[in-house]
Amino acid sequence: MRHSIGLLLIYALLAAPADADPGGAIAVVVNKGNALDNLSTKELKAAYEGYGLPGSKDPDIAIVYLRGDIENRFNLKILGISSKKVKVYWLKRVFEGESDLRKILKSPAEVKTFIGQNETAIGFIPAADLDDSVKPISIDGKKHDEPEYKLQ
Amino acid sequence: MFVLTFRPWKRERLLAWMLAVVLSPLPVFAQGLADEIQVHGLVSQGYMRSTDNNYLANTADGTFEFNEAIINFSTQVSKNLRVGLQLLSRDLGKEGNNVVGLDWAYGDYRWRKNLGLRFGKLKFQMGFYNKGRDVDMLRTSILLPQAVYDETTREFLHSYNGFSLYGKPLLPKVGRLSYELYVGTLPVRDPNSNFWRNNLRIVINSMDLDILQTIGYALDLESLAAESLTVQHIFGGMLMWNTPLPGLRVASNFFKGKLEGIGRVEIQPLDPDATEGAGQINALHMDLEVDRVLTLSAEYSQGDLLLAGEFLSTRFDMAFDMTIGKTGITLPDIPAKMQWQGHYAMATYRLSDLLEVGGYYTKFYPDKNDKDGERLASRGEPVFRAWKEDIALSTRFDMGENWLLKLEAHQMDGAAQVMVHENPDGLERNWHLFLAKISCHF
Repeated sequence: MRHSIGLLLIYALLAAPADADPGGAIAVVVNKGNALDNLSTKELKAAYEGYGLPGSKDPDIAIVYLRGDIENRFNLKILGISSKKVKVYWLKRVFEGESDLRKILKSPAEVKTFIGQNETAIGFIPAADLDDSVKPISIDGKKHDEPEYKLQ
Repeated sequence: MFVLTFRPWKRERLLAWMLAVVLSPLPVFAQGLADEIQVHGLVSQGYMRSTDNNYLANTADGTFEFNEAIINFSTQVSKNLRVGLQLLSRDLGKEGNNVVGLDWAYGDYRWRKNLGLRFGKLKFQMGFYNKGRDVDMLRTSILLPQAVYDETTREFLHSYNGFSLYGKPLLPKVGRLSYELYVGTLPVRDPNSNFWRNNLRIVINSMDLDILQTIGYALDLESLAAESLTVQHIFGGMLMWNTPLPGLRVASNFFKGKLEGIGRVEIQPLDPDATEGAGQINALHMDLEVDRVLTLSAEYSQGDLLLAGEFLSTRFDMAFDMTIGKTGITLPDIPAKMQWQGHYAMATYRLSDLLEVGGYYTKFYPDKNDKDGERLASRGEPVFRAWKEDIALSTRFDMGENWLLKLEAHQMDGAAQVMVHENPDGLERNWHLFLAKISCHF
């Protein structure tokens, strides 16, 4: 019996999502010193494919990922591919002698801290975790609390 | 388990190991950015067996001489400057033999989004997949279509020593462009590798050597051996266009170059009763102009479907000076040409997180002006050495996030790219090749 309970516990631990996505809007955030206010879906996609931000002279910007289900939701909505394919995309670059520009963090607090310290970085967090340490930007002219916002 | 053997230290290898040792105590992260050192790697082991011809290795008996082990390090040393290096151990029949070597090592200064400079030992851009050809995770098949990505060319077409200018301009409405312009040299580690032996044999056999016959001799091609082969320079460029149609990209690569080689081949008297002259050695001096290596590529991916097709066309112009041993006679500037052509069409589809399937059709001609083998036949060679048609079916099982298993079958017609010297009992026209490979990466 104890053995079975132990197995069930292990199964429950393994089966539980590592980082549950609370759902709701995903806010795309930049450093408060960044002049950027809005990105089109195409520009956001290009940034997360390593092409930099429009108007920025910096060729390599840090693109920040928040690990968990929210990551997959973001990838599917913006890049149109699963997180698995995103990983392959970046590993391909690395094995081809280029760099992996992703910074993968575990919590919204870590994302906010990193963005707060990096003027050119871009990331995303649940809109519910927004505070004044970072600046949310609009997508296609829509703010995260508007009904037609892309990352609802 | 891999058996690692070491050749005497070369300067580049020593440097690579020193860098690895120096970097190793520092904190490392498998994923990340900026001031961290990124470390990635892979280990793979395969098995190949063919029904008849030995292909790439001793496949007719089945072979495990088919593996790779790779580790790479890279870090951002300043805002615009990145450095990295990769060590590779590889075995494919007689190629590689798990000698650990520096695969690439670069400095990469990105001045602007649209302009950067790379220098060092750099990955060679040819077609869509040459840069990532060692990484099983990046594709469905085990072997890339050999008409464009001939495994025997990997040793010298995988990386080059030199400089490149590159950029990725984002053009509104037009799409994204990537370009690369490069100059440098290709390292030829073994001038007697399967590739060079086979192709020199084809070229020399195609030369007009009537003059040799008039003085009573013929070449003994089995004795052909290269003493040195030096790529003096190459230069070329790549242009890739990610079109406005999502998932569609097209590209073209082009390069030219110059090689110089020295080799030897025995001549035998045509008269079997003659003794004088038998065993005499010719000194062969070869100048090779890479007049054109061109690839045209297109790829379309949508969801779980990927379609790709590529075309390769080459033209090498050669001139041989042939000095006949004891006689001292030199036959200067004997011309020869080598014009390969190859193409493939490929489709892959991911059925589930576990399973991906794919297939391709590919055909290669070592002489695009002799596709039916008539000229080969006139020189006593089998006509089916004039082509190799390959229909491949692949399955890929993603066993976990970091490891995968692949199974693959090929139906072959023709024996171009099959080494004559690896098949002393003769070649078969119709044959099959089966492969299995397991690979893990991080």
